[in-house]
Amino acid sequence: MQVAAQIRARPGIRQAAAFMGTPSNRDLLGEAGLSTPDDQRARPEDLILAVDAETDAVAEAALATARQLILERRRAAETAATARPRTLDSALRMMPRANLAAISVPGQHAAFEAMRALKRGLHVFLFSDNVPLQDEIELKREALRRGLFCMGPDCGTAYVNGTGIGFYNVIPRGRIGCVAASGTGLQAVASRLAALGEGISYGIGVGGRDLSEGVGGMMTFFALEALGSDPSTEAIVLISKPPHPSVLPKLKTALRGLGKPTVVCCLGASSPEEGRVRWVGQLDAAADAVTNLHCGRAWTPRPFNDPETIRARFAEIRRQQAPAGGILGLFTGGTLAYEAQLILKELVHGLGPEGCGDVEGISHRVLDLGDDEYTRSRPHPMIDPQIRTELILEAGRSPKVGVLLLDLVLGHGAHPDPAASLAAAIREARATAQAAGRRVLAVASVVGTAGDPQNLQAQVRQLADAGAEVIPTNAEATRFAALLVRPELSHVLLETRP
Amino acid sequence: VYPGAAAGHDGTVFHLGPNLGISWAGAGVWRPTVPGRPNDPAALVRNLDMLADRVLRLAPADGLAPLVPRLLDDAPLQAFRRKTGSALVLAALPAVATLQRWIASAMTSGSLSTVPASSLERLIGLGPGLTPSGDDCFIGTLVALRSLGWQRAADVLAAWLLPRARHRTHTISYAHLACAAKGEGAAALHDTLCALCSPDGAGPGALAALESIGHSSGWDALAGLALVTRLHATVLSAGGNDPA
Repeated sequence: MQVAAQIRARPGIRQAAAFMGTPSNRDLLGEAGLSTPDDQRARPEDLILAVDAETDAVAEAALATARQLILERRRAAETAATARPRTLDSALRMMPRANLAAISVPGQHAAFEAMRALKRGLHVFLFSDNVPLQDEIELKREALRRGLFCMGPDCGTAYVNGTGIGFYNVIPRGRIGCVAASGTGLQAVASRLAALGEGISYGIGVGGRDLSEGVGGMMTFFALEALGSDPSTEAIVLISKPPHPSVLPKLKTALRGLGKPTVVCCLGASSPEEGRVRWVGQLDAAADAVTNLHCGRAWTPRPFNDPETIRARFAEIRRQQAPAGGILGLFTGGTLAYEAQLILKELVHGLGPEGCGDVEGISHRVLDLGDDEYTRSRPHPMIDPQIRTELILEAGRSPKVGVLLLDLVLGHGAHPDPAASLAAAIREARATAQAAGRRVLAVASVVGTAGDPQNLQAQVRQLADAGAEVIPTNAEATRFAALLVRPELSHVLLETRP
Repeated sequence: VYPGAAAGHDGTVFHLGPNLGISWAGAGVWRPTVPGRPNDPAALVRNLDMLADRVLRLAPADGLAPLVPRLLDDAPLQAFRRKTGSALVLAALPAVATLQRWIASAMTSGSLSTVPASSLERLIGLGPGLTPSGDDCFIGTLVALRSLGWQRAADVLAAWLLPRARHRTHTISYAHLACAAKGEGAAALHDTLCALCSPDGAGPGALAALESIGHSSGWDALAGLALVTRLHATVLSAGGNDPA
């Protein structure tokens, strides 16, 4: 069927179909006047490829290509069969010294495969989601019994011995160790560390539920302990949503016992500084804080790291027509969306508990397009930008949207050129709005490093050329978006008179 | 493994030639989920309507998918506009309509007349793909009949179908039909049926799983499943025959 679809897409081809040579299909061909002596001899086990083309030559060429495609597929299948193991055990026979299994199978089978890997003495990187909580608890118990890591379920990113696993950015090896309950959270912090000239020793994913009451932080504690005693790790960052109250006291005790400068970024939770442990509210702050603190430099959080540039951009935008609508956040990274919601909730009235609200006719919304609701039957928006493109174009037509707040995540696993379609959509949405006498602004941040395959600079340039304001981090981009809809915030955020 | 190598099993290992064995020691037996008996025919009708609505928006133009909304809706097939149908749909239409009439009469009168062979035969092995669309439609029909309790109708249909399918379709498709005759199909097919029979309706997940089967196989099987389930709902609503 795939070969038929490829042939159908060729110029000069009106129709192409592949079917088995059953009597009913032979009759169908006869009725369509496409019958030949050859296909009348076909048996049900034979494959018939029928092509309707503008000329005989086009048809012949298409059939030759189809034969070639089928042969290539067969060859590829044969090569794959010899080169690619189909089970964990055959993989282990090919690589007997492997000590980590990366598992990405449908959720209902994931626990079974992960348990099998643990029982063979392998650490586990479990990319699969939809693993039942009870299975996660049993997997992590088994891992701890054996002194192994079970990263995940729903673990998007990890860095082990300088190798990235899952969706990851190219980060130099360095002295900061990370423990993260979120893949994009880890990507954002690690990329920021790279931008600040740092690198990471390890990035250990633990899955989004590890600090829940049920799991009780099993892997977080294990990972913290490992990084605490790892000589290459000089400072530690923990990234998570707020821990369950029943886990918090134990977490604080564990953090105190590490004896290394530690920064905790539990989005939405805070705690006073205690010894060498510092709590921060945003992902960029986590990277900034750990970079300074582990060198013994003082650090205080600031709304913008480079207020001068922001002030200038803000002033220039204010000279032109003000955007009339609210903020629409369209995110591909779940943690980035969550971080933006938390910041906007503080700065912009009219953001309800689900990230939307309506005050004085202006509403602000932040959507996580990686959520199940948007990804059913289609790939994640980090891979396939279509859903976000549609929503951006819709925003251009809507008088309710004044500012688009966007993220762009680069790295291995992500789309090869995500800025191209995003820039095109921004350009079109802005033009649509302008034609209707409105102004839509786009504010974006990019998670990525100079080493990423997409070319960070070129990606940023594409967005800027489309008229987007590209701000260094998600937290700063969100604050900048808030400034655009509530200029009086400049008093607080930029220490200037509104 | 080479052509002509002997294949056999010793109870726990399936041997293919002298060097390859596939062990099923420790394997679990898969039993398809069985839908609960819908207590509330109105809920079943509501679920079918909801699914029809979703299918209308999502159905591709390939295979028998264009027929699915009508089959879910119990709309007369004859009214299917000829100009909108592909050659395949038009070729399948009389056979699907015949199948629908035969099953309706089996459900309402309880009498099982002979399967109207001449026009139904056309559906066997009809259409593109490794499992032709017509065969997938029979698979959906048989799985739904068995799962919803219409055992005698399934028996008669299978007894008519399987000997003919031996010559009119190919080996792999025949194997699928033989499983369906016992009431076994792809897990997604069973899940869709269970979702339809549950009080809280058919979620989008069931359809997504069906879509993932083959190129259009999931949709073709849904045609058969929709045909039977809609007739079943009509019989239940009228307080008619108990399938058992």
